Amino acid sequence: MLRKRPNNLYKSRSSSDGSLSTDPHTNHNDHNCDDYDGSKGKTSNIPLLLIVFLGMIVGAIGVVEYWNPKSLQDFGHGGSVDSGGSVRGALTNGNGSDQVHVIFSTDCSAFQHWQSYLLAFSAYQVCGDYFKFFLVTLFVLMWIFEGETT
Amino acid sequence: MKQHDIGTIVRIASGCGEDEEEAAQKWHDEHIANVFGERYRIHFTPHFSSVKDSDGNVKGDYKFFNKPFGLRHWMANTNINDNDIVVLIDPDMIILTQLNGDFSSQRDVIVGNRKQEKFKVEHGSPFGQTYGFGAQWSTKIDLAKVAGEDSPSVGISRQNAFKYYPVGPPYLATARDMRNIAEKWSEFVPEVHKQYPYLLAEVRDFVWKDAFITEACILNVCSLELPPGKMFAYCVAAAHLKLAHQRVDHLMVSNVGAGGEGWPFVDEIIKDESTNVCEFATFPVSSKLHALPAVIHYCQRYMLEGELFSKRRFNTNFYSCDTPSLTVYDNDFGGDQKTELKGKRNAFMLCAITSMLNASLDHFKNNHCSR
Repeated sequence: MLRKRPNNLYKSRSSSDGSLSTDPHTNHNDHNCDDYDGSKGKTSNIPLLLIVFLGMIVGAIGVVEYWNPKSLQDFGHGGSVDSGGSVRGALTNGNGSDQVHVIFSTDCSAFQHWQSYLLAFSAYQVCGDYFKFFLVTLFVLMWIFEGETT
Repeated sequence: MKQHDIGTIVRIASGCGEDEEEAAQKWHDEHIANVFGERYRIHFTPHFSSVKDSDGNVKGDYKFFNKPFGLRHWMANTNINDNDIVVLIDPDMIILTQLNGDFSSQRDVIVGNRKQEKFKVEHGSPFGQTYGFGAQWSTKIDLAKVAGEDSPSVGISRQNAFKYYPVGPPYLATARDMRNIAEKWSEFVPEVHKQYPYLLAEVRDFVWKDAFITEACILNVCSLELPPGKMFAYCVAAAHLKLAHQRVDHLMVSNVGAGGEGWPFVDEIIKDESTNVCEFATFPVSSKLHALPAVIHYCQRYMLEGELFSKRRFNTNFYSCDTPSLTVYDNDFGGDQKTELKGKRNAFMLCAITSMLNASLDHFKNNHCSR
């Protein structure tokens, strides 16, 4: 019932310069850099690349929405503080001053270092920061790709 | 929640020595803040965990004092808006869905057979995850001795003690309420600990011998375990401040045999014949098709088909460049029709935890290991 993890699962493309920082999502549609024939790129591919890039951005935004289906519909209540001091729509008020802080308590042992990293990672992917990273990585990939073709 | 509504994610680290603090800060800056962002912070506090006797002499070390005192220390040293929401969780939790103060979506909320009275975290309306200790925080403790004879907690009815206060992490409250709770929690916890110095493992047998019958147990949904005194102290503090909590069940899954947790969401996934529970639980998890519990609290042991995850046995140096990835489970892991419900719940936990660990390890390696 178990399978060993494939060696290439989530693994970033092998890069000769080691400069690419990738993550699981960026590799789903990855291709092998070594297969790329640079000579073909010398005809101008910039419009095509721009279209592809914009398509990836739109796709990524779609993924974000797929991931967080409530992100638009559930939080558009607007915000105000009434005279009684109760917070209404504290998470959505227009001035952005009300925030959610996630706190956890640890000692200083190694036992809780790995837990803290795991928790931070889970918050990172839930909060959407993961996708910011994803988009930045895409942008870097495209920038490098474009650089190689021109 | 929109992204800009996220505030800080703070690790409160208590009792670090000078060298430890320096090392922890460096590791945090390099591996967390520089990668995840500046909102991820570490806050150091003094050592709080010593228990003193009536003469002021240290008589023991109780690390769970760090939580109330650490929270109080952070709140006293951090400039946050009173209207902000503070979510207090445990370090052994994995966040699956966004934690926020909106509980108005019926699809994403479980309140059991209780009536949901509150739908948003507001001043005077904190929320908390149901824990299976019923009204015991009020019956096992001499409340007058802890909080004073005039404390509102002293006269609380057993019904209200059960209805509003047997909560644990994740706790959610406005910063103003949480600040007040932290003050009283810290004030009360030493005396509560003195009266009720039990830890989870110690009370397990005691509870069943004592056979304290709560509504939860009548409904066959009581947890096998009871909390340490720090959780009782939180309840006393909240009751003292008349901060009745809206108890919700969906914030956490932890004990595959317990009620009062978010298992109904997982069970819906299990029942869905078109969905494989392990595949569903594998990172990245989405709540698009099925609602999810907000966090996984991996404080138990999870076992199925000879596979085991226990945080106590886990490699503390997991996040390093030469750590191999964990075994990946097949999508049909736990999918055998003969596997009972608890087994399938174990499959959910094993698949979710290990895949999240693998994804986080990949992320670590991608950012910190040369290839």
